[in-house]
Amino acid sequence: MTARARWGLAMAAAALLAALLAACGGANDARATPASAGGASASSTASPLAGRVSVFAAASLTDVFRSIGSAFSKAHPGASVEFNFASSSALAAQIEQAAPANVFASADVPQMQRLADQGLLAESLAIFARNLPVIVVSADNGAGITTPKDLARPGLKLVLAAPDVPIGHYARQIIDRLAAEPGYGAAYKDATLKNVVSNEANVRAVLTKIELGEADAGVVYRTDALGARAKVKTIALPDGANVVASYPIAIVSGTRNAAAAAAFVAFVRGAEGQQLLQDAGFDAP
Amino acid sequence: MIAIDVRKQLGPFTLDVRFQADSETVVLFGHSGSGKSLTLAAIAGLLRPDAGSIALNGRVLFDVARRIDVPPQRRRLGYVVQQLALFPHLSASANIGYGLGGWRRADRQRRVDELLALLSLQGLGARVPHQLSGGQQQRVALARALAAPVEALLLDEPFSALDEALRADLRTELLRLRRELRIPVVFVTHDLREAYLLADRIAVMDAGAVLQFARREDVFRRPASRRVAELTGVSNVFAGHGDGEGRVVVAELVLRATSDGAAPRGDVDIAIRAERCNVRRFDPAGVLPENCYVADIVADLAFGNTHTLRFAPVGPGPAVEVEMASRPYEVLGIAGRTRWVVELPADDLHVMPR
Amino acid sequence: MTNPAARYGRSLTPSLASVFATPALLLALFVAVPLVALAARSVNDGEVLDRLTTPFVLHALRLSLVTSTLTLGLALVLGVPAAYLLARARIPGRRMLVLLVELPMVLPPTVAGVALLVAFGRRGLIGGWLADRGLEIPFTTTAVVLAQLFVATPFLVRTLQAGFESVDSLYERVSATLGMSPLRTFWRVTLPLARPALLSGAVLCWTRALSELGATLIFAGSFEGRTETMPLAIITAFESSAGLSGAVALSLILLAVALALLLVVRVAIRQQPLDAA
Repeated sequence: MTARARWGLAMAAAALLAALLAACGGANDARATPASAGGASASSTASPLAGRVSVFAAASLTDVFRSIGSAFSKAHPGASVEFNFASSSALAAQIEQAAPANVFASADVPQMQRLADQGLLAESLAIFARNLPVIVVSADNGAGITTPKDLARPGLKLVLAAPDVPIGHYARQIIDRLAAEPGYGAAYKDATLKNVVSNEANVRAVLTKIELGEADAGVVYRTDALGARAKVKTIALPDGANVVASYPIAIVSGTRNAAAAAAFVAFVRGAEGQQLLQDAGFDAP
Repeated sequence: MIAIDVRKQLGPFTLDVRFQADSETVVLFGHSGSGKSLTLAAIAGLLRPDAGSIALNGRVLFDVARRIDVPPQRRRLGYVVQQLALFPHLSASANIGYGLGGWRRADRQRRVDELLALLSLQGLGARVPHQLSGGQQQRVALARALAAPVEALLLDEPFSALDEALRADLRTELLRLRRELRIPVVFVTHDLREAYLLADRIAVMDAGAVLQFARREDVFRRPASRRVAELTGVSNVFAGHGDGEGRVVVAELVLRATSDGAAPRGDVDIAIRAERCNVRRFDPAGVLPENCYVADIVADLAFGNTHTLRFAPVGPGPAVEVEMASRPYEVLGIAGRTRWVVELPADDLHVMPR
Repeated sequence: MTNPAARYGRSLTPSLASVFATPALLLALFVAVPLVALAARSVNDGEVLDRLTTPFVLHALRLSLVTSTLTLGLALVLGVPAAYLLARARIPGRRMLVLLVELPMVLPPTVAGVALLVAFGRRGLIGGWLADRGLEIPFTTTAVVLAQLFVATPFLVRTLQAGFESVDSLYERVSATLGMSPLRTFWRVTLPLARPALLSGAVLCWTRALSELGATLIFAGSFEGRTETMPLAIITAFESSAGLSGAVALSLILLAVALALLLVVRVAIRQQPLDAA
């Protein structure tokens, strides 16, 4: 066979190999193979807890969960916690793609339900905290916003999170409810939505844009507003218009270190975890 | 008429050039590094002299004192560089017509066809430079330089990259063109034969300066100095003493030198070209005529068409190099004998003050 | 006059070829498998064509094409002269200028976004001054173009600069003696001779602009039809309920666009027979 023919054959073989690999990969649904299927074995108090727990948590839990993580490690010296903070929708998407998460803490139920519907949870979810969305403006309030009605003002720059991100979803629910309030009306919803200039990837991005003064107003969680109280001001919402954010937590199916994962979940729902959450401004479940 | 008188300092090198040319060919002759190409670049406007002026047909192209520096695109010169620099992305026709941008399409095409014919390039117009032979490329470069009406032609060693046969062709081409062009042509070369062939006048350059600027015959037969003689291939330059009345003494031999009129008095250098010396049969009983002396051949270098003979004197007279064509060499029977009489003809001896 | 031995002799020794073949093939596979997988996956899903016609995708696609083309245009207008100056001008501080031009290339895009925000944001260095006059840049399509311009222009300038440097200035000098002004010389000789570099630089710039994500997100935000370009849309799709399928479909569309750009350029270059000597 001539050199050229040999090259041609090699090229063809490579192409075939590539196609085969692709086909095999495409056939399977990308999910974690449930090696140790069926979740948590009863945690034996006899052997000390060890290993790493990988926790995927909503962006709004960044600061408080870091504190919880340190406390957990102190209580269980052999175990360590690894965090991945992002919007709940992003995390859910990653878990769908078999990202190595052991525990998932979401900022709303729909993103958790999304995984449950695909059988990706090892157990049913449990609500471990609540939060309240708030309207925030930059500390100097350059646009002079005093009531939620001002959000409909033409030319105002409103920043929300993307519709699939929990806080983005909540914000749009709030706008709907405001429209139903006396003095607001359907036109309020249209005008306000028109003022949305960006759908940010997560709640922290929204907060940053407000802190920087790039946008006039945004919707974040009360806990975020508390954390940044030097740089942002909160605008009060009428009682009927607000929604309550329920935060579920669950163990992801296929978790190997089920004992440690369960222990973390228990810690979050236990006395110490709840205290830390409330100190950060979260409400009890 | 082109008149140049410029100076430029380039690091340790000083360029100091001065000459004029009418509708004739001036050859700048010298070794590499003598400043020939720099001079051409200055005339073309690609090099800015520190002092002096350049004028072409009464138009001042450059004058430091009057702060005039006409940019190259307005000097109306044809310039062929050594590397040719044909635009590789354009066809031969496009290259040739490049400088005719402002012309109407039909006129430009006609002029390009004219030049293609003039330089024997018919049918090659559509080819790109790398599809042309060396000689063809050279001719395209020449045509390109001549396309627009230019007032002078500058050629920088345009034939140096070609083999002998092609050079001969192109030199003939250039000689023919010269007659039709009637503009000053400044030609740079380090080839002496080429210089003589193409020149009306030669400017001998060395280390940035013009050592002699004269008609070619004068440069050849009456070099201005020992250095010019060296540069123009004069193999015989003797140290001697002149008496101021047309006689010089070289190595105790008295010679009459008539080529320069009254020869200078005192210490002199005497030059005679190798091919101007005569060789005669040695007759022991005979009387030596004027300007002749006895010498033995000590070296015989055969070059096929000529021989270079080196003579050592027997008695008074200088060691000398004689160049002889092959026929006289055979007829005289040089190979058979050692002792000869060398004649240094009086009107070929050129005397220079030392 | 090329050396005939070079032209007719062997150019690649067989022993060298066999040693280098394995790593080369590995690389080729590594690049090919994800791309083929992408294509195969979307064929399996069958959603691609459906998604292609949703407003969400059409808006993102149009926005991407419009902004990246605008960016290319601006990059050419500003970058071609800059590249030429960098190639030819012997000015003190030239090294610094070259470094400045290269900086956005090595900067992480998110850093670029932050920098742009600090400069052109509402409270920014220049943005503040503009905002006082009623011109606010973040959250607009202009911001998208600026972000793309910032990260993509260096690719054009550096490639083109190298191209200009490879054009012997002798050609430019000869052009001058033939009566051409410096500007016309640039247009008729320098630029055509730098054509391959211009085209490859343009492709690099265009595709970099098309794929710009980090800086856009931070500086311009993400809003359908206004600032949500294809790369941003892919992330949104991935994180939404559409999940991987949505992302795959959009990825394939973007891949097709990129391939089309590449082909356009390859064809354009081949049309010009340039002298290799």
